[in-house]
Amino acid sequence: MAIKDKFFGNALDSFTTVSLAVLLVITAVMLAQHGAMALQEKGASVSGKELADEMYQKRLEQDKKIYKEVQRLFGMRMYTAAEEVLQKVQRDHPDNPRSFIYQARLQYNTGKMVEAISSYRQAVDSEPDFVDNNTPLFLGKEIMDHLVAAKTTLAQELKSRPKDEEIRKALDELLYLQRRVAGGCE
Amino acid sequence: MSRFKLPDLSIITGIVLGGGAVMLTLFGNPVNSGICISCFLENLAGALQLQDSVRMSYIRPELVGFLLGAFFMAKQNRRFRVTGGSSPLIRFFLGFFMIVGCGVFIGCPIKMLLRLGAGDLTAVAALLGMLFGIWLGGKYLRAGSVLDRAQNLPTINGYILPGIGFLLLLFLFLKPAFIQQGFSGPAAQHAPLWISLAVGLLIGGLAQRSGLCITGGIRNFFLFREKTLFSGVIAIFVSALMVSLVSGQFNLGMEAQPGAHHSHLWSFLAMVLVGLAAVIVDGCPFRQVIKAGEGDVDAGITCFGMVTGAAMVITWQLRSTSAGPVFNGQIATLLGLIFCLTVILSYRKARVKR
Repeated sequence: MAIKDKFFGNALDSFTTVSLAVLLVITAVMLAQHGAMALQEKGASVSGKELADEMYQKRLEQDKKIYKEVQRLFGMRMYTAAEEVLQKVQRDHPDNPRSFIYQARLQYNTGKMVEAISSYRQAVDSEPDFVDNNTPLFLGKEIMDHLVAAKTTLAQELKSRPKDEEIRKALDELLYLQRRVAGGCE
Repeated sequence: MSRFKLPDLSIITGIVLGGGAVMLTLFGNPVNSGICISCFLENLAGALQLQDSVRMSYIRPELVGFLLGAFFMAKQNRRFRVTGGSSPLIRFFLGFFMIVGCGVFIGCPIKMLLRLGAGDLTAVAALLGMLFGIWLGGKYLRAGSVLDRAQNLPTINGYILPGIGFLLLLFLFLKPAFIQQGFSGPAAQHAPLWISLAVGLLIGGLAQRSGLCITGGIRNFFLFREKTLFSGVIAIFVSALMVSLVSGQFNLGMEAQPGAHHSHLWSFLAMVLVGLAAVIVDGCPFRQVIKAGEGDVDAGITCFGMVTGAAMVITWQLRSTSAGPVFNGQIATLLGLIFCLTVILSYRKARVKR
């Protein structure tokens, strides 16, 4: 009786209650329709997961083409020639972050540890997916391996030149990169 | 539930929270962030497009679980009491600055314990900062700096935050187009929805019943040597440590720690801010969510401040990255401390006048 009085006590109460019920039903129907449509489209409207996968695939194929010659020369350990080709690629595709990865690999393999760390940092800062193991661009393992090796070398160099600011800065950058590769919340 | 005494329940809640959080990382949540209220709020703000980092956009089911778990438990035990009206704007901004502090440290007090439990020694400075902030806040409490008393409000006020929780849950399942979800970065790192939701509901219910709060537990220990909630805080750390050790996630040291930085002074100051603000609003970020679920409208206002803070932390860069704190974050931390102290002083003076 109390509830009836509360919701249908007078004409205004009845009008309000009925209006509320109608609005609720309309909203529920609209939401259900929208949900059904999203399910039919496999949630494409939300995450764009398929679109992203397609985009990654395109990028990987494009990178493969762009860096084909660099990769070939790098594989043959012709580092000077690879560097020359890489410089040309960097001029033609200034926005492509993978060039920093190749740059770092070349520097690492030619013993330029400090420069290699700086290049890895540029790569990771311009493309966080390089250290995201949920994406096909993930290169975290390779980067971490290089960092671990570089750390030993740099620590030894620091012993012989304890006041060398460049090495200290490189070690700081290296630790930063190790934390980035380790993951966690950004 | 009634067979358990409160200290036992506090310990049980701590064990479930600490252990559950590390388990969630095994199921897919970001490393050392199995449960982190500030990270989750940043993700939520992104999902609602209040900030535009897609990599940080996801409605975390755990967060919804905490809110609704507390709501159901409070209703079940007739502890759903609708109160509010105590210094709403101040609470809003204290919520805002609490999340700024968390952003500069990279993690809320729960994540701080999880990071310590996983061997991350960079969190020690934060722990010291939080202890100092709470100790300082306790001193001010003793001196009479307390926000206004809350009043009873019409029941509908208490249903608004749980209502938003239900709406977020609906969004999680229906995935409407205006909800943003990242497919790379931390957003893509998540445990299966049902597991996250179940863990969230369980922890939310237990936390409502036990009143577990990181800052509240430490504050009570400092003020009255009262160990009920404090034992829960210790339980979070111990269980996180145990599960980390058993699951091979323990990595002792300061280097290669996920979601960390080496600016210890800023970690310290950021957590002084969190500790101090939490004492003034009576509860850490986690406790605010739980209280909002049990009808505390003031905590609801603080939650809105926290969501706004979470959005601005990303949009205005009021935070740290693995490289260290961003300048904007440093300034915001200092402004937060200034705000807290100004509030404390003005309330102290108001009380003295009365």
